[in-house]
Amino acid sequence: MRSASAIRKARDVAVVIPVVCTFLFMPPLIHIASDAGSLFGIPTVVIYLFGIWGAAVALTAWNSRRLDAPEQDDAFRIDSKDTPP
Amino acid sequence: MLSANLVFAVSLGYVALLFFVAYLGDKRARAGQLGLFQSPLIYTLSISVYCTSWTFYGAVGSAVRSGMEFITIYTGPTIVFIGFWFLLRKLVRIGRVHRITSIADLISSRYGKGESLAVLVTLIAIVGSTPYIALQLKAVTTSFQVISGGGFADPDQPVFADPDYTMAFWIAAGMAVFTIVFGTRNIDANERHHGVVAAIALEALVKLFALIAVGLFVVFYLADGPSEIFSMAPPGLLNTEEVFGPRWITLTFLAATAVICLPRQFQVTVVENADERHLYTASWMFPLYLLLISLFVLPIAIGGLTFLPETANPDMFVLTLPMAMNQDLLALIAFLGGFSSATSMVIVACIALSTMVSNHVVMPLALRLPWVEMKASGDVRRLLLISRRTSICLVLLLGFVYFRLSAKSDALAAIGLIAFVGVAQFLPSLIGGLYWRQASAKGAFAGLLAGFLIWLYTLFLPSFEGAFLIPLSVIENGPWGIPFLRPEALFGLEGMDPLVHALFWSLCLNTLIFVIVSLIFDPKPLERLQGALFIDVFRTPADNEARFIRRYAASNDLFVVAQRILGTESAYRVFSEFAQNQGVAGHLPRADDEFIGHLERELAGSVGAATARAMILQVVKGETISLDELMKIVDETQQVIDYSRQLEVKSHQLQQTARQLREANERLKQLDVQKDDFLSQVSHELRTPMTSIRSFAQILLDTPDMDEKETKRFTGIILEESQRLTRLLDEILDLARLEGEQIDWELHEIDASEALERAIATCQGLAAQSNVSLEFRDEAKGTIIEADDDRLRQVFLNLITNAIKYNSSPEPKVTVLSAIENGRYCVSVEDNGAGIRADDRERIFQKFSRGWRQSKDGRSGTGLGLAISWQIMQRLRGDLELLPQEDGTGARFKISLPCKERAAAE
Repeated sequence: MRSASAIRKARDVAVVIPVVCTFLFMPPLIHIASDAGSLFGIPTVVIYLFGIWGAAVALTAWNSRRLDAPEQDDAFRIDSKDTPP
Repeated sequence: MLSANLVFAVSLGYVALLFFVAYLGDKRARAGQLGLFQSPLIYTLSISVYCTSWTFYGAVGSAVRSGMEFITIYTGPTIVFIGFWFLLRKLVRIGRVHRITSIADLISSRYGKGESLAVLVTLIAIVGSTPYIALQLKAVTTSFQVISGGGFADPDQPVFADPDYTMAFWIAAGMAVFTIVFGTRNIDANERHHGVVAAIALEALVKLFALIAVGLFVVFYLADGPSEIFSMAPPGLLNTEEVFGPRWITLTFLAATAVICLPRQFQVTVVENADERHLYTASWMFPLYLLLISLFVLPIAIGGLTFLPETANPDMFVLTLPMAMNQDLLALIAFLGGFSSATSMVIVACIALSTMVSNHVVMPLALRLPWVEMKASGDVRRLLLISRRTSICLVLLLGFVYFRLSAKSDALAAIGLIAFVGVAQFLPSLIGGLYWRQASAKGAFAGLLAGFLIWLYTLFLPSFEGAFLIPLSVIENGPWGIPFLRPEALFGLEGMDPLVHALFWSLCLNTLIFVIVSLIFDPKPLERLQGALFIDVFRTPADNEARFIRRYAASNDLFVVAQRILGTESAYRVFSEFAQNQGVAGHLPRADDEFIGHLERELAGSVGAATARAMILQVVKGETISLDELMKIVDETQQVIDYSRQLEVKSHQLQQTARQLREANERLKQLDVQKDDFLSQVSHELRTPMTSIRSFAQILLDTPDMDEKETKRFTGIILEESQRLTRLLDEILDLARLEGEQIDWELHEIDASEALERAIATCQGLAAQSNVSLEFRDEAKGTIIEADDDRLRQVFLNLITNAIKYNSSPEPKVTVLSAIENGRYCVSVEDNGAGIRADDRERIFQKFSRGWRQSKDGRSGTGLGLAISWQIMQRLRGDLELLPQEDGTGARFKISLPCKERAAAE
């Protein structure tokens, strides 16, 4: 059983990855790569897109293992965030 | 060059393999040994049914035409899956908890299990999917013709010119057989098709392998590594500046939406999900699959542009490139890859659509038609199976007809994206349903309908380029020549890409109408309940439903309904399992709210929520939904307020209890002190008579020759002292009883004067004996009070005898006066003796506090009389007080009691 704070952090990461990924895939950020020519003969925009894609996959794989801690059912979870003041 | 027969034989062999794998999957599922067949890997691979032939062949074509744009079709779903924590997790949980059978079921179930909403969603899904299925048929047919006929080589005979319709028909028929055999083998309680899932997982591997194989061939055989292949790229291909514009964002969004809303995606992701934790793996493995499958799209596109003649169709590069290089085996693999991607899509789409059609169109109709007699066990189940099989055939037939009608136009090329926009119309209702409590069925229906119509008008119909329903003139000039209503520039919005334009208008108006109508029409109770169960799915288990719905049914009736849908065996299992849970003997459980809810969900797993509810309603009586209960959990702020109010009440209670405890503790301490005092006083009081009794007895014992007179005197004293002891003990007992008694006395209406007169009469003897003149003035004759007669007289006697006994005046006189004062009956007893000393006045009514030092005959009383009287008066709801001395002599006691009524005589 992982500590509650580690699981909470994993959840936050699970939310951050897709958001950051979306921004990186979208203009205007993507224009930075599309303007830049090529690297090792491969256009940078290709490297940029597939690189972010691969990194997102790797991060999610790593994080989903942290999320997949021994099941703590949300219904019975004691979590300071969920308890009304 | 491959011969048509060889290709055909290989295809048949491959189909046989698929049948075998599906058979194995079904067999293992029935034996309960799924093992690998129910693993995160298989789950992930089955989700890749997303990659159809449109992506297998079409991605390369798209890359040739628009460069990097093809990648959005994969990055959209990637974002959804790596962000599974947001939405997919909730969808999967809801799907499992509520036994959702399709996306139409989900939306209908969320919005109060209505049938019309489900029908609309089903309709949109069919209209959106039919061209898509046609596209797959076309892809398979074309690829077969290309690989066996080498059509690419001859630029004057484009392969699209004349598709082989006979072959297309038989391909469709073959898919129908496969889907019927493995997709409708049983109406499973949870609608999972392990055989089909296993087969499409295998197909997923084949198509991935095929595309990677062709890609590696291009990169490392035709070219010398990635840098060389990119150096061959024509200058325009990756000139991408304008690619990353509105269309880029739109397509990413569209693909993200499609991977959630496409009926077949919903089927594999939500309905076929066997374990929520498989999603954790799919969250990264499916994006990885997409990454791998799109990795070689650009190289293949560049390869095709470089090595194939200009007239070659880019949509077939994956197949024609190996063929042009005389790589027969590779071409065959590529063909099988395309075949796999097409068949898996068609099979899953057919299953999803047929489930929707049979659950939401056929079943509600059948239940309504009077001539459909259905009363036998398993009849609904049979009807379901038949309607599903028929629907599969119909859907495929529709796809074939569409293909037959439109194959010569270019309409099919864009149909994938057009379908995406169609199913994207589900998004507002879906997201709203999962996160917005006010979302109502009317809003969802209106929004969906509006979005659907706009989609039809702005995108679907114009895609036929005038061949279907609306002529070309309308597309160009607007209906009746009104340019304002032109389908591709609606409301004057010009200069946009048609796809972006259609998505913008349909989704915006869809969302707007959904929101506005939801705000105008409040959700009905059942919608509210379902909304709460869906939105709070992680906090509110579905079992909670029983808290809100009250209904009654006979277990037997329920069993008949279950039997009709599930068949006798399954129904029996469901019932006896629940009966066992309830601890009821036999196989019929108590038909309580919890069981009816459970059964309804079980049935919903087969026939969908709307039909399950309709069937349950046939035997259920008196359904009420407790809105109060519901509001408690629905409103989050209300939850918080409730919670803090409870907290407040609790803390208030705690404070009160603490104060009471403190007070009780104080009282106990006081009582403890009083008890000690009392004990010491009692023992002191007892010791005085005991001492004299003992000493006189000792004297009598020691002096045997005492004269008789002395003996008599001493014995008299002993007697008197022991009498006094007895009296003391009696009074202590009396007082203890008065103080300890908790029950109220029964009070009777008595005549106060009469009680007083009798007490005075009793005292006359003592007064005469003591030479005391006793005066009595009765000014409250006939007053009725509520009291205990004997106890009241005891008080009178005590006061009067005290006044007589302790009157030290030379001319002793006692005055008793009764009167009415302020509506109270008062009696005062006054003497003209020495009175009570100032320092004794305060504690005159306490135990053993004698107001008088000594009586006239030198005896002192027990000191309990006044204490007892005071207690009695308290119990009679009256009062006893010592009035202030007026002229320094005499004591005046006064009792007062509430009057019941004055006698009429007064």
